Amino acid sequence: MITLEELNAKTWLREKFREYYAKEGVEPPPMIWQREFGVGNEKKIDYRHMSFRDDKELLGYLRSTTPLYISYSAGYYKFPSATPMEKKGMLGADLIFDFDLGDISDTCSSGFPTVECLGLVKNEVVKLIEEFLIPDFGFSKDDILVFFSGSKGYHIHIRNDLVFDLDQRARKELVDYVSAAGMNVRFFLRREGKSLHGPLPSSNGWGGRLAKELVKVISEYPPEKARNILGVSKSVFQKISTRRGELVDGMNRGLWDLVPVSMATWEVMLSSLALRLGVKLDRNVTIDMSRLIRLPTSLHGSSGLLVERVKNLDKFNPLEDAIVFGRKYIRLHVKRNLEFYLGGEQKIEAGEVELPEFVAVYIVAKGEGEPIGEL
Amino acid sequence: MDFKNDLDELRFSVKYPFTSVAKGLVRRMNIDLKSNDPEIVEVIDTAKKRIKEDLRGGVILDPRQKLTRALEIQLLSYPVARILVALSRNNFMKKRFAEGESNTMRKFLMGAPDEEVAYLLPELGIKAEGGSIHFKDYIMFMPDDEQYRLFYQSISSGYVSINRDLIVEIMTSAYRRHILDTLSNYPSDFEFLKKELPDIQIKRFERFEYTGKANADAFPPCMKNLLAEAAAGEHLGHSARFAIAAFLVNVGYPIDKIVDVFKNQPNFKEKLTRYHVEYIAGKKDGKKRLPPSCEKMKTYALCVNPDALCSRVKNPLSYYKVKMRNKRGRG
Ligand code: SF4
Repeated sequence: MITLEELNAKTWLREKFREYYAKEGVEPPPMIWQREFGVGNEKKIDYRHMSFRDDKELLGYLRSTTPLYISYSAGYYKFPSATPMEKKGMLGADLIFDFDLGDISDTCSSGFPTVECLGLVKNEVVKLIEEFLIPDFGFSKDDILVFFSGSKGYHIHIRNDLVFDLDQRARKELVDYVSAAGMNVRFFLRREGKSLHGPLPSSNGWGGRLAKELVKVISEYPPEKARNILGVSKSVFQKISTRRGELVDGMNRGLWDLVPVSMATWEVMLSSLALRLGVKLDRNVTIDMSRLIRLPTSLHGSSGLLVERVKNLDKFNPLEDAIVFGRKYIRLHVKRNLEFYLGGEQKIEAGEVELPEFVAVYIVAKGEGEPIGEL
Repeated sequence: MDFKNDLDELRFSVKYPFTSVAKGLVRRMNIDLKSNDPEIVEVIDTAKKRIKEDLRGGVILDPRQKLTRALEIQLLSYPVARILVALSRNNFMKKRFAEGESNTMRKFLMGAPDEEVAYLLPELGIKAEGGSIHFKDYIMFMPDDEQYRLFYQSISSGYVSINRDLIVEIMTSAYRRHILDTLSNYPSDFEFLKKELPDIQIKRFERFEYTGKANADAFPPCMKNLLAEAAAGEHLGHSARFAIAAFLVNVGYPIDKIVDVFKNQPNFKEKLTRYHVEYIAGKKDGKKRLPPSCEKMKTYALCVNPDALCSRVKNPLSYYKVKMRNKRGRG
């Protein structure tokens, strides 16, 4: 059941969205006629299996019906609105990576997102691009489109022929690779005769990545921090630390047993490093080719922020840059005292207040207040 | 590819009948399959023999043969066999044919000089650079075993460097896929060859005919698919095997029948399989294992062709239960 207040709040919010779409429109995805769309007001997706013939039709829909949420398929279909799914005739799909606060830190997953928490998510995005997509997979910066999700994360879309016809298994392989999911570090070490061989810090791919990080942690970090990162006991760490010169020396030549370290200890250390170096993201979104993703350049119904293309990730702060509404004052009934960041620190007391439109939209979208009078 | 002479070119084409060189030769021979020429009759017979051999695992070819005519017939048997298999509209046969042909290629590749392998890579649509192949081809065609997963490979700027043996494996599955993709078109120009089909009909592998309480019609798409793959002897990964076994245990298949499901697996070991199935059935600890949830099935890439009912269930088992309830309701 939704209450009358909520209904009013939603109607007001949609009216704001309508004004925005009338003025700014959206940037439709390529091959729009092959995409499935889903829209929602109550939930993120109340209806799916929709399609639009062209950009104009989509824009017309947003301006007349104006849902609070609109998503589209990473997949391309012959018949995007056909049901059930298998009648759609999938032709291929973009490659998507989905980052959300919830996957990154428990402390960040509830309440209003903070600049710091969103910064943590951004770090994962940067990690994926700089450590994996470019050096390992050879994608170019232009292939990689980064979007703020409009709420608590980021999406990466890769749209090109290379990824178009990857099947589900191949997509899983890719996302497992970048997140180190299901990695068994034992495969990096091989026993040859009496000695234990492992990757060089200069090796390509994960082998080199793990070796390099291990050398770095052992030789550069303060002992207590290093021990924590490696996840080993004090006594084991002691043994390694005192002979670290030798150990590193051996690793640089691919010999991992100049200092006697048990296989179990190697496994613990390498697995801890893999966890640290792997990208934290929602693997399912990449694997599930028929998934719907928030439409870029639309507005997000839980924040009123723009699902914005991020051109300069370094400088991007969604709580500044994705704001689209203005500063005109709106009268609002706020349910409880609030403190959050949006275009600056906001401290708002419960009760009747006047707030700039962009703050008002944010609060209403979060269900923390209702507009008064304007209806 | 440089050939010393025509014979050399012909021999190469017999070994690799999918290459542009081979296709060019076939085109130039310009044969008419409708004629009653003894040579054509021989080509068609050889094609039928070829299919039968493929179904048993691979073709027996003799590219060292000195007689041009005999070589030509071997070469021509390939396109004709393809036409026949496509006309059969039998997916099972298509799969086995693709398997057999790609196995045959693998045998030739294993002894081939490096330049031959390098020449064939782009012919199979595989992007390669030096000893490395593009990651896309790698992840699309890599073997199933854990050790081959992308993590453990050396990858840089989009290319995975792998040894010859692994390249051969990748080429083999790329070729298998290529055959399957191209066999899906029905060659309507060649309907007149349909009269040859009865000769190549094969006995299918024993279907799963358990007629106890479980009703296989009500199985969800994922399980139907896994069972079909198991029946066709396709190698199933660990999670796939667990999923079927746990599903069948829960719908009441007897242990023996479940063990049988796996008997076409390339590395089938009856005792070990039975042990696992009994474990899943809870014989050891009284805990019957449930099949993975749909969500898990999706992450394992085992959820295929989900239908309308799928969107209402969270586990393949509930799919079955709902469907059975509906059936009974109607019946
Ligand atoms: S949705 Fe569930 S029941 Fe349906 S095919 Fe996928 S895994 Fe099987």
